[in-house]
Amino acid sequence: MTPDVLFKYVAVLLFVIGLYGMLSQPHMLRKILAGNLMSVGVFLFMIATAARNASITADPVPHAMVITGIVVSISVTALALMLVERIQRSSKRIHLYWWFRHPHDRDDEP
Amino acid sequence: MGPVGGVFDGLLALVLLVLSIRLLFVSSLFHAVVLFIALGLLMGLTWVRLQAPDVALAEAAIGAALTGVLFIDLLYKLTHRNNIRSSVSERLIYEQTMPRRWLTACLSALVCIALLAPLLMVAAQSPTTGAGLTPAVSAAMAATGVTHEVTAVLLNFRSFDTLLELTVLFVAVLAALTLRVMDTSSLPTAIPKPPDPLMDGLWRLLLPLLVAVSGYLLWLGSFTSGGAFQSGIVMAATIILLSLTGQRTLELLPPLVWRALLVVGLLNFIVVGAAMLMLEGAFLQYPQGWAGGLILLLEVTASLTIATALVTLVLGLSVPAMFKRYPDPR
Repeated sequence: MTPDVLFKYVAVLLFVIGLYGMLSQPHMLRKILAGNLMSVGVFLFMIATAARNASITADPVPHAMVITGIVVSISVTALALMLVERIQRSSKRIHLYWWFRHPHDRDDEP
Repeated sequence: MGPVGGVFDGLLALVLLVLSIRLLFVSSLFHAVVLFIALGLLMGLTWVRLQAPDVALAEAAIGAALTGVLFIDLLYKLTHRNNIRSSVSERLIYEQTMPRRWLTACLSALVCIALLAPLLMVAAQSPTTGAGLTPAVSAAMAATGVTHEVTAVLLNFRSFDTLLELTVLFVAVLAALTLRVMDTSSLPTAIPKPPDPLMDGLWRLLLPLLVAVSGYLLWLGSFTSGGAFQSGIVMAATIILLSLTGQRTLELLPPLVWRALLVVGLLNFIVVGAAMLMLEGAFLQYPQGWAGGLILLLEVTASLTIATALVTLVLGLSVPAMFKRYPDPR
């Protein structure tokens, strides 16, 4: 099995593991980590596809797209983390379960 | 590469999968973040194995370093704001929501398994031979003004992508600043440190080296792996490292200079694009012979903006000096 075929399957698995974490984990920080896993999976699939022909140099177009994608992905992560901080500050919650109240949760706190 | 390369790739793939599963299920959030940083470093290795050194350079600085700083900074803020209650609340959520959590986990697993089969089929059926766009890029390289193919794609063939990427970065910074300006009760995030001779000596040694690496990467971009992105990211990492050692960095910039640096890359792209629209009849269509110089100009300003924006996103929000001109909105 050549590396590009192997890492294509790894990319699919990383994406699905990330999706599972995104859907099932209650803590927002872990959801963001899972979202990053999903984007790593997508990047890996593109780069593995670009490297499919071992006799010539790898396709530069997906490489350029992934470099752009990495910068976009850290922008999204930074913004998401800031929103988590704001949510935690204003509602004292760190999860997205609307039906679950922490024993210490109080709505009157600013 | 032979059997050794095959074994190495297999082990790398296995470790990537184990790390990704562990980081979702390990009980401590801090461990999860550390595992994520390790995953970022191994991804850098994977990009090299897949003949993508440009991506490896970007990933090593962003995926492993900057993302890790962002997560650890937030964890610190969350755990120190409410006397560690936030750090235990994940466990409390787990314990107190068991029945619903089982339901969520089962439904999520169903969705993922249903999606896994078609995705694996796509991976199996995707082409394993063929040259892709490599011949088309190679054939057009003579007119691009650079000799490195990835730089040619980033700043010539698909320069519109780079323009939009700078826009995304700018919008993220704007949103972050808006959140920060509205927020008047923020805790200082900088941890007061006692003077540390080892740390002082270390950054004095590292600073010139890192600045040189950043400039070198920018210069390399026109003919080999490197370029505006990698250079900007290394510069951002340098400034963040300097701030973490307790030095003043962004505070030293006058607010106007800082704002100018934040927009110069994007503005330059728009100005160059509009000028080309008038001269050549197409947005960002470089005239013959001018492409090399224009790309260098765009690269320098894009690199400055990427560095400033990333520094602002990662730690600018804890620098109150930038906002001293804004009065409390309330």
